[in-house]
Amino acid sequence: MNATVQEREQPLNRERRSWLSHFAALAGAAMVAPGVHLLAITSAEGAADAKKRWGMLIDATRCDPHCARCVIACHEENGLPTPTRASDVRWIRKVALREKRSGREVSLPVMCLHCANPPCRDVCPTGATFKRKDGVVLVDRHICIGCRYCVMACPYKARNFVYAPVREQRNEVPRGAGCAEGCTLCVHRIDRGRLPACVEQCPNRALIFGDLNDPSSELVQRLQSISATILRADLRLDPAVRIHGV
Amino acid sequence: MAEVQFWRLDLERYDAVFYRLLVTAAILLVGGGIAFFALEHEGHAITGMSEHVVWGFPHVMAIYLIVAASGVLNVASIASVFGKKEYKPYAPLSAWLSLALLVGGLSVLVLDLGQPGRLTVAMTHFNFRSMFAWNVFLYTGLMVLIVGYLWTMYDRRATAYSTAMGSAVFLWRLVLTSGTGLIFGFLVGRDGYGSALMAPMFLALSFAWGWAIFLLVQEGIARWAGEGQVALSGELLSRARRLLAIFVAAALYFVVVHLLTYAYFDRHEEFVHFIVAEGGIYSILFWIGFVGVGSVFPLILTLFQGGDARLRTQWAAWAVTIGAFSFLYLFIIGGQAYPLQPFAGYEVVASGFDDGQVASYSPRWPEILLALGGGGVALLIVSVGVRVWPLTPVLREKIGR
Amino acid sequence: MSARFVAGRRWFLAAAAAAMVSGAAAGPPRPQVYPERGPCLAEAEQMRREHHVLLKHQRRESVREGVRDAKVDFNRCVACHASPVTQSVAAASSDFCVGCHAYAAVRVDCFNCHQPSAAALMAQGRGGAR
Repeated sequence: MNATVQEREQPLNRERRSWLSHFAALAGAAMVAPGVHLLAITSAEGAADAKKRWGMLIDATRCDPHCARCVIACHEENGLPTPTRASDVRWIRKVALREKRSGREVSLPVMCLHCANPPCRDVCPTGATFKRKDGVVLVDRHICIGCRYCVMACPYKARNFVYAPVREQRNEVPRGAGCAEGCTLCVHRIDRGRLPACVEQCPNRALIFGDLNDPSSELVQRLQSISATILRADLRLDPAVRIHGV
Repeated sequence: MAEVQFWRLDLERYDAVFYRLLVTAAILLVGGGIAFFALEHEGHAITGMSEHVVWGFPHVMAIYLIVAASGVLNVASIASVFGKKEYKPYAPLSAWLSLALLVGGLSVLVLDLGQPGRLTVAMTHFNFRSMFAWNVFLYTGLMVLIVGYLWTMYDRRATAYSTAMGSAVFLWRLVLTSGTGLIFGFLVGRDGYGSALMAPMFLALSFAWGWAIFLLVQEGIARWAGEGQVALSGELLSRARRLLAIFVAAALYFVVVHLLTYAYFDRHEEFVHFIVAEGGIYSILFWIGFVGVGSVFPLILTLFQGGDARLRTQWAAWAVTIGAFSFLYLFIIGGQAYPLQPFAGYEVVASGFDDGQVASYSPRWPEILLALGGGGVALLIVSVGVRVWPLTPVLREKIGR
Repeated sequence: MSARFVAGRRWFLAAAAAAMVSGAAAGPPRPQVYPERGPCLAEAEQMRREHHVLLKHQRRESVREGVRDAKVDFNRCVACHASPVTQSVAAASSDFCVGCHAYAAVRVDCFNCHQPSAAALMAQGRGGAR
């Protein structure tokens, strides 16, 4: 249902956007001093595509309980320190579960599920937490005040607060103390057509990344052939990350 | 014949107490300042807070001060909204104390932010789905209304607006405290929160905590000023004590109903079990702190006669305040310490992020000093206020008699 | 109202920059530029006045809209303006960003999160393609 609503809104949104950008160009040209053309300098291409909704399938049946390559890849890619204390961030973690009735054990990584209706976005007082047009839930650290309300709101323990000052940021992943953060689905990679680091590094293809709105994508094909679980489906958050085998 | 007048406390007689209070407030403020700069320099890593417990002791203090600030105004409301003239002499102190507690609580909240320097961002960017964004308006609005309310109390030209202003303050703070409760009421993900009952529950708690802190401060001022200061006594004192009993009973009622509904829902049953039985410090705080000391003990003290009425009221008010901190600690910290349950039907065997584990939390010096600093702010504002402005009633011989 | 605010800021920054250019003898720090590294995005005069507007505009585009490889790129600014000594724009008080900002008394907290070291950027690969 969500997908159809999104699809219906697409043409309108795109039209409005392009119309708005013309308006912004006029306004910009009129506002700045003579000889200054801001938008000429900041013209840009390749923005997030509202037709897409990035998502992932975590196939717990393929996940090796003794492997943590996805976690290591995430920490390397995003410049996160190796977690040792309870106050260290974990954008992704490995979890081993046992079904209470059958005793069946299963292992899987868990990260931000990039909900369609994210509670973290709803509670954020300044709007720093937002959902990109392609469904990726991010924090705009420039206006995050560090209140931690989003950490309180997330049902999946996927939001983190940066406690210790950060000195060795990675080029593409600016981050610092006093702000909330979480898995970005490696936006800096997917915007350039690459896979998220965890997906790329998984040796068992337990993580499948793709566009939930694209019926021909491997992700949607798999979702059609298996019954994937939605964590805390009772909350109706419509997460973009689904799980198979739990 | 003597009559009640408003008077500021007399400098020559009382300055020793005043400066003692100032020094106490200054020590608390310096401690809070040191904690704040330590947090700014080292980050929140030097606190006891973690990825599991992100709201710690500063939030316990801040929410106590903010909730009590709302309840303190009951004294003024009873006088101007509900027309009980006997309480009128105490209305100015009630309004000023409310302002002081509110400012103290908000300073802790703001200074504990990860980016306190971005207060201007919080004041210019609003997401109106967020209870916090609404609270920015509710808190600042209440401050403005209280100032206006004080004006109607003092300026004879404005007394006509006193009832209207009092009603506005009364309604505003009902919304404000509902909003404080709904900070937790709107948290859908955690088993300990996410209930509409949080709004009326916090209202009832605010009535009890505010009434108690008012009785304590009023009595403190009466002792400070000695003879001439109009302390609550006689019929008014026993009515104030009965009201405290009603508020405490109402607060206990809402907490019990909340836990009973949760115990009835399968999803939350384990959380209730955690709070009342297996939560360690949180269960102790619940039974001994909140139920025993904070509710049953003051109910016994306030409902039964005998002994020194004034002293018993003081004991009851102290007990309610201890119960308030116990409740907020178990509610805020315990609610986070109890693990999130994203994997229905599964138990966690191992996790890289302590899933399924009860989180441990113990406050360290920065957050304790920061929280006490908020108390220092409130103490400073109250002390200076009653010292330089005619906030409290004093018995004076009628001039010219 | 905001336009007036911006205009006020612009006047102030222009004055600060003018003071820096003209008053070399009086001792204000002069930010080092390295022409051999190629031309800047725009004239120096415009960059002095508008760099924060450009960066802020780009920040919104990149963070909210997912625009990559834009002309205004914080990392490229750092790579080009870093001091050869410290390899950074914010390590020593004479480095490009902090030097001018200290003189203009404008607090800059970009580098709480963004990497100010060109060496680190080079090591990690510029433009993100590792």
